[in-house]
Amino acid sequence: MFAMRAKDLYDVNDLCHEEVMEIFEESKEIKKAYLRGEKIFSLKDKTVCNLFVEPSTRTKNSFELAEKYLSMNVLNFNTSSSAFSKKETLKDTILTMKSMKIDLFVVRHKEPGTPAFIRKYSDASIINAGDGLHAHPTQAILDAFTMYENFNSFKGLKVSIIGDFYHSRVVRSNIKLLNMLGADVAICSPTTLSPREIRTLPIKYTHDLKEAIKDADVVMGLRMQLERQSQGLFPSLKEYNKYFGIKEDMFETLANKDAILMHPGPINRGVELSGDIADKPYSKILDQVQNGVITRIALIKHLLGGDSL
Amino acid sequence: MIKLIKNANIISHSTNGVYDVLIEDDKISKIDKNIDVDADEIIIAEGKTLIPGLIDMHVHFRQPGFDHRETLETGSLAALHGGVTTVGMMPNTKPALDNSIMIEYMQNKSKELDLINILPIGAITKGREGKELAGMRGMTDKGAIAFSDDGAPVYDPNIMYRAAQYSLMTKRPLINHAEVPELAKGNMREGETSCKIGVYGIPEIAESIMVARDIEISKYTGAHVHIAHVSTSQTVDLLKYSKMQNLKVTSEVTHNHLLLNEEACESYSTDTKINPPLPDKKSQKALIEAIRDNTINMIVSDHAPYAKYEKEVEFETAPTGISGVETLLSGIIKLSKEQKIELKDLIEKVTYNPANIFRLENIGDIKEGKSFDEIVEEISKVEKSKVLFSIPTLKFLKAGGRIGKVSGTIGEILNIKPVITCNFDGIYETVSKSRGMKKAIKSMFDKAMEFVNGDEVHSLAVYHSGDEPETLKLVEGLKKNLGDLMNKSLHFFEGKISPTMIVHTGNGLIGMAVIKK
Repeated sequence: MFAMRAKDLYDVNDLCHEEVMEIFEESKEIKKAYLRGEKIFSLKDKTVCNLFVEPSTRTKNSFELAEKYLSMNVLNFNTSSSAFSKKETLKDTILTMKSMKIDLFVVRHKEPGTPAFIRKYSDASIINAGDGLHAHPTQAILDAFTMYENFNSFKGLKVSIIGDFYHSRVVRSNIKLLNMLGADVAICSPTTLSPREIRTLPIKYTHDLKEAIKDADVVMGLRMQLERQSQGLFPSLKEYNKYFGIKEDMFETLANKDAILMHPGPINRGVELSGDIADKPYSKILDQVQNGVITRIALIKHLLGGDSL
Repeated sequence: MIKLIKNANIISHSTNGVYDVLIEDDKISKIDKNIDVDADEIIIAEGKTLIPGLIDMHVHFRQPGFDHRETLETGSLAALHGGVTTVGMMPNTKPALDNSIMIEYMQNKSKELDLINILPIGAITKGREGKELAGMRGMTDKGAIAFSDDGAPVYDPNIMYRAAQYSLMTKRPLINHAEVPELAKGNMREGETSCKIGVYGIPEIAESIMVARDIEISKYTGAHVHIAHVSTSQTVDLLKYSKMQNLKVTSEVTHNHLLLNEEACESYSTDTKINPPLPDKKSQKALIEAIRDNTINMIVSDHAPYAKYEKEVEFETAPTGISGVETLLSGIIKLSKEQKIELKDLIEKVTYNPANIFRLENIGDIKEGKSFDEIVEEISKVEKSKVLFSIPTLKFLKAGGRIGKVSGTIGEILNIKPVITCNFDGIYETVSKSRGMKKAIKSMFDKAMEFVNGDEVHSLAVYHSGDEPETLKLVEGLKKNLGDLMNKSLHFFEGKISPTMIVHTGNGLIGMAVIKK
């Protein structure tokens, strides 16, 4: 019996529980080496194409750093510098890239389902770096790894995610991964920003912020975008902050003693996070950024089969 | 010209059972048991089913303006291929069918082609812009059979109200594409699947709100309003209400909305992106019930073809619509079997009912005096044939998305060669799995013999792709095994499959087909 390894990562459920734990253990080792400044050379003959059809700074930088740490040949394909503006279809772009012999596509696209679309035209490995509202598996992995570093276990871990669920691929992937790992997930979002079928999901749902934060081990805020106001989804950022902004006193009095604060970034101070809460010692937002690079290194190695350290 | 059809099993509104049909100068002159005359042509329809030519009142034939998607000719041929002999053609061409000259042009084109009846549906408003009424009386005089801005709703309630009043002078129905645009900004039905796969959803109320408005307008003006492609359970409820009130409201549903639901979108296949979107399971069930109890009067295809490259894009980028005129008949046969609905009731919804609602004389029924454009549908023949094939690598089927990723990968590791059949609905099914190509061919032979089951064989075919010696050797082996059957069958074919197919299968495919007598 041999373990099947995933080749692609469209969403977190392409990995089994054991694989996720393997990636976490590997990440711990990589983190030590990374902080010592050591590089890995085992994937130096592989070429990765970062296909970013939707603007992204931090995810793209994080992937690029991870790929360079693995000594890979890195090809960046951005919307601004590509033929996309001249209306080349994605199919033709993939066929063009394929003829350059790409081993791995890292793809970000505003369209859900893009990774599966690429699969039709290429045999390379594919990592989903965010597809529309659908999934953002590498964010979920780095989030869960950050929780694992802090709590060492997911059993009974209470994770409350607060903010715009409807437009969040981060939430969708997080729910799947955290359920797989055994955590209890609660979502707190305005009714206009919750999917209509939210009651059918394996989560607790509330629109009472205090109820969500009470006894939580992890409180995760989500970015609120101003444009939602003009879509009739909420009245004002001020009212949003009043009822859904995570505040220091609330966090410190209601959440569990060792609770941590997380946020996928970029943060809006004064909107989803009040005051200086992002600068408090229990805020792990910058750890998440670092863990993003670490877990992406571990993940690429896992998918492309690089040697161990 | 005298034509005689012998012993056909007739399914239609007026005639049902096994009869002979006599056709003189394209008119049905006699239907009886054992007609004995000297005919120019005699069709022995023993064991076959005879139905009226289908009437599909909702197709988009794209010409003029979008000839790369479909022309009147390709559309007509597709219709004929699916047993459809009359279509209602929607006016969203470029320019739109919004004046009598365009209607006349369509009529002439249709006559020139002489393939099927193309009945033009004129626009309700000029340029389908929803602002000013189009010349509906003039268009009626030239042969427009109904009016619609299809593809776009008549948004302004005042214009819809005035159009309804005006249409009373034409005695022709208004067909509205009911959809509130502000609510219809998504790419599939809002529901569990849209939430799961992260696609913006369209709530069901986008349709029912406007249907409610149009029913009110019909009630107030007395105009005949026909609701196009019903897709939600709320709309079905509204139609029940209008029926109770005896209003002049009729409706249609597409076979796709009866056979598929939102779960089909999970693969992000752009073929599942249609407008109105595929229903959730609850609404799908309501639509089927509405067909069963006649709340919805007819079934259409909403045939809306695109060029292949236009659909080979991301899901949200893709245009809405799929072709359907060829699958309408097979769709209702499938529906009849799956949902246990009398085939006669469904046939009426694509023949007699549309003829009745749109006042199309002489068609849609098998009855003395009606014109003859019936098709002899070989419903039973399909079940008498079997296609089987096996391929050495699943790589190409996998890349084409024709089989699941996982089953493909595991299969390859274990050297598993499947024997695949293409079922009645065009879906690939694995009938057996063997290790190695040789065993797969043996299994294919066994399956074919199992299917023949001692019956007489009409035709037999063996085909392959590529020229590798290994393949040819296996083909020879298969033919040797089939020797007995080859001698007994009326026809035997052998050949290589077309290069287009090889793209999907790769080289080394070996397959066979059997048609029983």
